[in-house]
Amino acid sequence: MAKFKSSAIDCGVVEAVQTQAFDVVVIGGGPAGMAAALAAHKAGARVAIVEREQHLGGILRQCIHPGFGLSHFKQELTGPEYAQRFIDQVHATDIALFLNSMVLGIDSGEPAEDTEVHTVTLMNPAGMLQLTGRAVVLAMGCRERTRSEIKIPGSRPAGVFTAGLAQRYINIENLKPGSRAVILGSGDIGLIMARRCTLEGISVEGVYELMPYANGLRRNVKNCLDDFGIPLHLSTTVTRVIGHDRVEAVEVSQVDEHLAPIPGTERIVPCDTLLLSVGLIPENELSVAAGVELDPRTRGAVVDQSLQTGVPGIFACGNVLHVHDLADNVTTESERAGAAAAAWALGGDAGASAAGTSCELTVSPAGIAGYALPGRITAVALTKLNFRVSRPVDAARVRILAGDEELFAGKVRAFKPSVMESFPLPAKVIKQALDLGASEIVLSVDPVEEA
Amino acid sequence: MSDTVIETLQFNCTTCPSECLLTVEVERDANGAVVEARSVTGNNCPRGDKFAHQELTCPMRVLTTTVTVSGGDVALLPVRTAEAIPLALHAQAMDLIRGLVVEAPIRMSDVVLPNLLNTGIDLIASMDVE
Amino acid sequence: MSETFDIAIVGAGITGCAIARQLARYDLSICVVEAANDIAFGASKANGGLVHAGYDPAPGTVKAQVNARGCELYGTWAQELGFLFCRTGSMVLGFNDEDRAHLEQLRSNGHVNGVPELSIVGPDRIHELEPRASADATCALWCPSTGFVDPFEVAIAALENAVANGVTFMRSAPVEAIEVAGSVDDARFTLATPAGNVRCRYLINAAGNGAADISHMAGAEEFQMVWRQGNIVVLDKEPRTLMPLYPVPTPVSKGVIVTGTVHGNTVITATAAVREPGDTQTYASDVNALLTGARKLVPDLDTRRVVRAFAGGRPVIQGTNDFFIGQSAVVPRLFQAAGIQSPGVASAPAIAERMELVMREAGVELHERTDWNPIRREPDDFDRAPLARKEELIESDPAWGQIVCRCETVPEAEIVAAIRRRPGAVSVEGVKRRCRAGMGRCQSGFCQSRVVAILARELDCDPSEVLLEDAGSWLVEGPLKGVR
Repeated sequence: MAKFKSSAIDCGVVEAVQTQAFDVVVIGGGPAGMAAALAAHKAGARVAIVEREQHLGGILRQCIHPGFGLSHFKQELTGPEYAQRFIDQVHATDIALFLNSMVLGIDSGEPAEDTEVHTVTLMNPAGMLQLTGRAVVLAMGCRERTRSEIKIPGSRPAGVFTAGLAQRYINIENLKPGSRAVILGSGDIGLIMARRCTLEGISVEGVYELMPYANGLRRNVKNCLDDFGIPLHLSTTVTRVIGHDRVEAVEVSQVDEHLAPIPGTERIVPCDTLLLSVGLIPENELSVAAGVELDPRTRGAVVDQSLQTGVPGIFACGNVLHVHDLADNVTTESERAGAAAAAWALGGDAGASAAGTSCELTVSPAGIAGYALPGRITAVALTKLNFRVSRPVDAARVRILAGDEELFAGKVRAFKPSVMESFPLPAKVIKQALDLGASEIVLSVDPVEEA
Repeated sequence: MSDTVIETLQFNCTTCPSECLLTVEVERDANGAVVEARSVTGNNCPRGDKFAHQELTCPMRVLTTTVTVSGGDVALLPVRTAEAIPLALHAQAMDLIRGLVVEAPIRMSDVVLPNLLNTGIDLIASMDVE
Repeated sequence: MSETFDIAIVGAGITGCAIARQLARYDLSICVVEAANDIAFGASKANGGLVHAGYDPAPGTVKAQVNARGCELYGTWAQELGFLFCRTGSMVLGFNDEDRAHLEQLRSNGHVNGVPELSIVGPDRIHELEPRASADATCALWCPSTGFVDPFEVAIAALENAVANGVTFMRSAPVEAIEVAGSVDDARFTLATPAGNVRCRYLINAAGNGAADISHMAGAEEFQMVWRQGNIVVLDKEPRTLMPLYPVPTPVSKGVIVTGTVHGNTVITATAAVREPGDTQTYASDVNALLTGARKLVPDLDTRRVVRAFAGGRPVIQGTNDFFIGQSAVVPRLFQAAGIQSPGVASAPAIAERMELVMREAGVELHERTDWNPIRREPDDFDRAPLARKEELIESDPAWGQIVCRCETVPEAEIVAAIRRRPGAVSVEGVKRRCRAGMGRCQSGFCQSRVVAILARELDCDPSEVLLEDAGSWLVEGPLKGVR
């Protein structure tokens, strides 16, 4: 049971808020949340999922395109099909579902030292509710970067949509957001929307990409643009939105090697709709409020090898931790988080004793590695490292360093920013680092000159 | 024979997440039509070879879209072709599918439209609708 | 349609709304005529929300008189009208001896203008007052009376209170012509608008950037307006709200100011460049100048977290930097509140007060109504409500438990209430300005389609008729497929 602070202003009412106890409370009912919940349930935990929407499935409900399940189910599924398989599994268990429910806070008003049990306060049309659990899994996913974050100048008419919002209008609401679209950003959602718009009779004037390479998966460039003859303009960006009430056109410009627009290359592209696919940002407002430390590179939580955040008992997985490109990878990661959360909640000391072997290493990226995850290693065991490169290279190798020592060097191969990489770090390498007295290991991806 | 042209193409295999970059030597006739794919390299498995040949003769894709729902708790039902159909048929298929209305409840994999455009492939529901 | 009022006020910006609220206490029929489809859609929306204290305007100017008084009145106005007002105090940061001399000048200005409790402080006190202020600041003008408001909320609250006291609000009624009767009869002015004609005995010009046109149409003073454009940037919420920090002002503007907002965001305001009239575009150079300027005042500001960048024009009368508040010297019974540029928000309550005085002196009979109610009850703000109130609200209507805007925690019932208020929201932006749905970091990426559906339902129209803001700003064309 939650302990209520008697000094809280609302204490009289807090007592009226019903409390339900669980072992693991999962926040988010998308692919990450469902996989974590199922794994925790399988490990014997009493589990609850809190989901904002009326249905489980998260953003997959509007990702009606194929390309899911290739690695997890060894067959190509659409987003809703991929989700439905997990929804069916969840429904076959006694996992408690709190749908249409918004989490207002984690541990709000609780004393900082009281970390035995976490309290999740949620609301829905039936009222307020508190769920308690020794473990909480953060699986809130991510949101899209907006026009403001990338600072596109010009006017502010109707018709500028994030690609995901346009996807919702088209695939969920049965509404047509416009007739003539320009897409900025070659991320996967932008590419998918180029095809979707074309199939639904919305002409796509072109996809514009700031970087000199496509940001999405190759399959999407091929199947979504090449199949339909939609041009992809690299090193080009939207430099002005034109139109007072509704978008009338956009001005596009080529950019130089510093990504600055080149004067004189401006071109006006008439359109009534501008779709933005310019990146995703983990939605960590709840995490931060709960005291979870974020990695400025991923904008997700700093976690250890079991995906536990800096707040004991709070775990994170999926796009709220770092942005994935494949739902299958989200599932795999979230199953780990769910199992670890259950182990923490049920065993309690299992995680602590592992930490007792006095392994405390931080993991930092170097070279062209944009980030490295987990950021902390507290156990000497085979550890899955994830990273993403910051630019494409034809030949580079992964190196693991501790101080001046190179502990490991991978084989030379190509790396692309669109692909989240995974690398198994052997226990013996961690042991080596500890033996060297290191407190940090570095995951470095270094381009090599081809001989 | 002298009318045929040998051309080298590069594209990615999309059969699995490895996305092997295939290099294909293709022989075309005077009209540009593919006579045969002479060699496929870059594939890490036999599926790449099969994919390349298919891609040059008749590219096949799964078509996904939506149909309107009546009596359900959502406006649209996501649907897909059960298997890939010729890419060349997608536009025609969209015209046909656009007018469909299905009645809820619906279960994933229910057939929404059998034998789409005589391809032998059904259009099926992608999720449950209550 | 043609109706006769005692007074017509042209413009439902913060100035017009404040005047309407001020005059609503008298036994007069009043109509506020607005070109746009909602309140505060012009200069008032392109504003940082600062309630400047009044040390900046040159002593003796109208600005100097109404600014300090306006700032003083905000406490009462906020209480009566139920809007958020934070009087945090502010600092003008100086970095060298030259700046210090400017600060002394500002202090003496402020003293003449009637600004209370100004003092020059040193680095220790600066750090104590605002720990995030630049450590390079060697001196500062500390002004405890400065504050900030949400300018939409002030204008909306003022007009809601006016309407509750019988004032008529006409939307989408741009004045196209003004007929002035030769004699000073009962209906001296006839305003022609697409929404119908409005006849009135007295006319108040509070048309913001349109003030010169209104004056011209009435055959009164010929002003040239200068479009002094300002870009403004809003950053995401911070755990602690920043105190307003100013640089030493330039001759045309107060420079790039960093301030907290009543909702916990940080605002960087504003650039000043003369541009084509009507230009509300943002410019990369301006936005960069804002971010650079802001980091000088608050070095640790995370300028990646931009929630919104916007721009608008300050209504500046060419040849003067001052406000013009008074009866027209050319057309009696026409009262002007023109050139209300910065500090228009800070001055609004005092401009209203001054307008009342001017009218009284001009012989307009002002009889107090017995049933005037100065109070406007603050609408329920779910996000800010204590837990007990949240529970009560959800119990009263489950739609209070249905969150639509996730970033700002706005439930469906609050959006419905914003649409049903008088005057209510008629567009997505109108909803946003009343209850903040779509105001947050995702900029309505999640909630826009839901807000469109609620607007369509409440206004009994098709989603294709729902507007983002004003006429022409359609969001969706209509159904994609099927017979629905």
